[in-house]
Amino acid sequence: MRSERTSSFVDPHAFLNNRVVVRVLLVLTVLNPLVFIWQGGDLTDTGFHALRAQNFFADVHTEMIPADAVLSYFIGGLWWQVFPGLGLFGFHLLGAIVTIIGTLVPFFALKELREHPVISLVALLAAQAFSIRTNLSFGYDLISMFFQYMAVVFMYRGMAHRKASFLFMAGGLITAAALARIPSILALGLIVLPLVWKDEMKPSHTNDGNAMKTSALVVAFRRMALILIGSASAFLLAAAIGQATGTLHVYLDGVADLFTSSQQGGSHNKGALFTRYFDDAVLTVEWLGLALLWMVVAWFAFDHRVPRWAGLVFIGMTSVVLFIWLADSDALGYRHPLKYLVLAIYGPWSVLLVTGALKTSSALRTMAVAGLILIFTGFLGSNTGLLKTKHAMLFLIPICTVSVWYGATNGLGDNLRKWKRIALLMAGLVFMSSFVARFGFVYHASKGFLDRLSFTHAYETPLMFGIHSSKERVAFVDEIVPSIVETDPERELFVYGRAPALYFLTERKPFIKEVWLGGTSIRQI
Amino acid sequence: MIKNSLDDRIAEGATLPLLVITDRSTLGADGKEMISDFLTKHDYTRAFERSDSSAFPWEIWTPARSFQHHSPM
Repeated sequence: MRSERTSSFVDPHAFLNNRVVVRVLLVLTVLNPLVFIWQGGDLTDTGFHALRAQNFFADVHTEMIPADAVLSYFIGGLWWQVFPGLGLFGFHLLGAIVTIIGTLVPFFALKELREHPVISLVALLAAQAFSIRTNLSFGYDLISMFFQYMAVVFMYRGMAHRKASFLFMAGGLITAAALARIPSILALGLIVLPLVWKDEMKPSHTNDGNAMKTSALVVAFRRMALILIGSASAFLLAAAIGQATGTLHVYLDGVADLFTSSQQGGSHNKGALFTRYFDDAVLTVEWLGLALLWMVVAWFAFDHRVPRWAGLVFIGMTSVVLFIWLADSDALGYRHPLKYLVLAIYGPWSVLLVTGALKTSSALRTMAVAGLILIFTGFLGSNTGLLKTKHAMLFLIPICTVSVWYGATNGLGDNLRKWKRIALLMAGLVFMSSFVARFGFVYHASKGFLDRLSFTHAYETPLMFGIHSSKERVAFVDEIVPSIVETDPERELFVYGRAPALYFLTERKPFIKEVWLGGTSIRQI
Repeated sequence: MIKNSLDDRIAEGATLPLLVITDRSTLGADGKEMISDFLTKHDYTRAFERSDSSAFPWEIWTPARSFQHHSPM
């Protein structure tokens, strides 16, 4: 009787493969990054990246070269050359486009995700919303991660379809990631993926029909060699371009300066960075305890002996608690511990997949390894603790969620359906939480939950075209930019304060390389 | 570090820049002292100012020799 009632409630198989649902989710994947790009007002990070892109081609031969992320700003510089009229809004748009492509390519490239499209797209939407919940604009993190996503996808396709050219390209994409953000050189760690991968295809055959007897390890090493050759080739190509354009030594000097400065004081010195990482790791472990407690309660709430309404009440209560938690005015945006909670769920879950404690397909296991590597490439070098682990979620959330449909819970027997519901519910909650978090926070511009509702004032400053913000922020920019131009239309600018966007908005060259100045307790402009 | 960068550019013979201060109250004691010394040393004059009572106060300073316009807001 129980099973009849369940099947009449909704046919999960029909729903999870419904073409209309899939199309709606695909549209949402495209719309989600675009929905708030018309709001903003951040003059710090957003302005910093826009400034470096704006001046890239002028600075590339000087010591002002953005050596830490030369490929990112090359791309941003091209964008600026093509769409200068879009101003800062254009960089919001570029960020959204990169995010959309970065989300959709893994979906279409990974067979395991396409086989369960609704589950995958819900999880991908969750991951996308989580990664852009605090900020979405062009920057080196985004561009570098995009290349890493593509490298993983190319490796997958190269191994799944035995395409050497894809593995070679994957190596090139890893190099591109490193050129887009120097610390992403750690993405070379992705080279281990062939060691984890297990071929599903039958062995190749020789002309006489005999199966080629090549050990899996030899195949893995061949693949690793191809990736390495691809990476080295891309490095050589980049060096040749640098040599031909006379920029190589400037770039190398810039990279050397970067490492020298990391040994000194300031927010990016190694000691300060590792203290932040350690503190955040401890907090993540603490949130893991809460996540496990929630899962235990969920397990009982969705038990077949418990009335169905109990599960619905549990979902409702979880949503209410999440909403209240997200509205906490003391922990908005990137300070909010949602970052620890999500990492605490999907980090250990991925480890269980990688170690084999939870069974799944070889491909998903390999992708889980990739996601774990992306966790490290995401945050290492960043002075925001483990915040940037959010980028790895684009693989970890869908891989973990879909893994349940690939036998991750073989030992659970009849509880498999329950585990699937919990996995899907978690992805849904991550999406809703991230969307609410995003709705209640405008990067470096809002101070309170729902501030975004008042960000309806349009800027008159030409390079802020299309962006809406608070009345005070609009007044600030619309007064100071023409005042700078009126005072002196030619002179270089020195902005003392954390507002590098003022260089961009006035199209002035910075007097010194340091464009991000001011005390650490500065009121955020 | 910033002071060194400024001094280096000026020693190279660079033309003094237009200087914008966004919210002096947030600069910290060292920052305020450094920027005041710089303004005095190079004979800067205030061209525009939005007062401290504003949500986002700011100042624009220009080297005295090139100063042409002065209309405090």
